[in-house]
Amino acid sequence: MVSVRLENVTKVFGKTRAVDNVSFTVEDKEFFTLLGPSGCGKTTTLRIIAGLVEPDDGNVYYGDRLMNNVPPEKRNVTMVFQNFALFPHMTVYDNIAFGLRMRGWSKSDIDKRVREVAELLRIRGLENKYPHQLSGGQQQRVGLARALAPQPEIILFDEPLSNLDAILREQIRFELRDLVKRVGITSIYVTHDQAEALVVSDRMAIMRSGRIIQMGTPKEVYERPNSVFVAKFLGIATILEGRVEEKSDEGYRFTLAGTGHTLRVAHSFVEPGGKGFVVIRPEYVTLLRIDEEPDENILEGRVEKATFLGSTIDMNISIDGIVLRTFVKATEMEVREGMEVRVRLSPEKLVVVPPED
Amino acid sequence: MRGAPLTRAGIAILTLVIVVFVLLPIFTVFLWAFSERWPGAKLFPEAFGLKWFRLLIESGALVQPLTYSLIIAAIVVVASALISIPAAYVVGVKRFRGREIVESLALMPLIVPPIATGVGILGYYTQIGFKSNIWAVASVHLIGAIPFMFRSLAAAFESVDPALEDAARILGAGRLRVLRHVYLPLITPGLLAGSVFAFAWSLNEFLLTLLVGLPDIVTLPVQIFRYVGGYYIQVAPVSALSVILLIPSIIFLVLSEKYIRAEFVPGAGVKG
Ligand SMILES: Nc1ncnc2c1ncn2[C@@H]1O[C@H](COP(=O)(O)OP(=O)(O)OP(=O)(O)O)[C@@H](O)[C@H]1O
Ligand SMILES: [Mg+2]
Repeated sequence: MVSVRLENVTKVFGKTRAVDNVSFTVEDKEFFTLLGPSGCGKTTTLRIIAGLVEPDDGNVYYGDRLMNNVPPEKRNVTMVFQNFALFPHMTVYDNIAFGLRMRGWSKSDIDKRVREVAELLRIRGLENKYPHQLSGGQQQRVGLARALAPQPEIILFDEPLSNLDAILREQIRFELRDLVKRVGITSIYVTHDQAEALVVSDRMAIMRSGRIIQMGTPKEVYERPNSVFVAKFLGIATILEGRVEEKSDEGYRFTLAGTGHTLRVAHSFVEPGGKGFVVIRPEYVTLLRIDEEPDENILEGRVEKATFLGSTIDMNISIDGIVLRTFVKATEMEVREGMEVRVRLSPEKLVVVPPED
Repeated sequence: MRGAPLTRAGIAILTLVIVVFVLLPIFTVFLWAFSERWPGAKLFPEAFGLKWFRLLIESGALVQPLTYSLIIAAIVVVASALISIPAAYVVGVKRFRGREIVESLALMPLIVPPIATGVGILGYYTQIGFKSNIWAVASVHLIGAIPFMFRSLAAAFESVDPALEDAARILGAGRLRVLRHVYLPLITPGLLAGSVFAFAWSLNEFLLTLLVGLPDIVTLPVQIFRYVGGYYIQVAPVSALSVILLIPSIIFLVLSEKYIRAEFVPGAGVKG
């Protein structure tokens, strides 16, 4: 098994900088995710790692080995594709065996290995079927089996679940992570689905326009986004404009534009005196009873909209012209539209990010 | 519903054209070819038989030309496929810029009058002494065969999901093995379609064959023109030869119904 390192990798198509000076390291056996909107360069990055695309600039290492001039068939890496890319003229068996045949395995070894991975992915019995005779979920399993069969050191996933329906997608993503963790393969996973990225990754990188703009564990990136883009892209957030006033031991003072309310926020990517945006996740907002003692970071407003979602209620609270989004447990309190409420924003969770340029 | 009468009229005219210019002539040719006795005043032959075929075989007017025709057509199919596969791969799969130009260039030979190219080719073939042999004839047949082969193959390559090549590469196949294990099986319908057209083109080609092939290489069409090109026309033996010429087309027609998908036939509703 092996780590993967990209060093200042750049790829330009015509005028598009598909991958723009990207560097990162994926540790041995780590599950690493590239997350970003459509067209941000995720697939191109993955194809560069695989050797299917030659970078214009920069280096790719597997462990300490420079891979730039190694063709894909000589790299010990496999890939799972968005549209599965199963060979339509081959049976499931031949699809799974393809990589083994190309690597010159003996017939009996191939037999044994195909049976093994078919069992692992619970697709025994489908061996003699053709891809078009399988359901989407089955095709995806065959694609995964085919990628695992040659025992690669690195496995690449290009939005492998995006062609499946929502329920299947949720099931398979846990299974998929478990599987590669169990086998112990370095995994690089591409998706534009933030929920998926949060669930499967050890670490993740957020990409935008060919660049990586933030990297870290899902918790780190979720809780401390470094930009409006990341805050909006990952999870739900109310993002409010304002100014960072001063720094103290307990964080920063932040004035909300328009309302004059000040908040204490623990973290800021903006220096005092600068303009910025405070990121307020729904779970950082607590509803207070009217009689509770005033504390800091208290705002008063009115419930503008309350949507019953089953276990929770999704609320928009209007406060002096700004709208704050939050959820409360349906059992916790009775919420009516038009109701006056006071909310507290947990200062140690709040982050101020710089304005977009 | 205003279009309905127009559609019906269109179909009627098309049917009429096919009957008058394809089916009726073929029917007449068959009548002549298999007529044993056909007094001039009668509408149909009095007796049917293989007289004319026997006569053709005995006079040596059939076997040798047919052999030449088939050998040359086979060479043309193989050579046009070998030449077209790389080009069709590049155009169909790589979708590089300027592919439209390559595509229309490949069709040029079908638009340029063969007599113009033929005379020119004859000029330098004569100079280098490359004339009157099957290779010379096959080479001029390629001019017409390649565009058909190329179009069919390009459409076939284009219909293959490019991710399959990536998948095969990643799984350890070099470029040649990708071609052999992934593309070849998947472009077979296109290859068949192209082969049918290349074969038919070669089998029917007359003008360039005459220029480059004579005196030694006489193919079926050239032989036919020997019968109809003189002062009198011998309809019966010509018909018999024409029937022979029709056989491969009929076989291919039947085959293609079964194995060839319309999208790989040049010009038959190929997208773009
Ligand atoms: N072969 C190519 N030729 C020209 N431009 C390309 C090529 N491949 C990718 N691009 C461009 O590079 C940019 C990044 O593409 P890429 O496929 O890597 O994005 P992505 O993040 O995978 O998007 P998606 O989520 O839609 O799959 C896009 O603007 C795309 O149009
Ligand atoms: Mg992509």
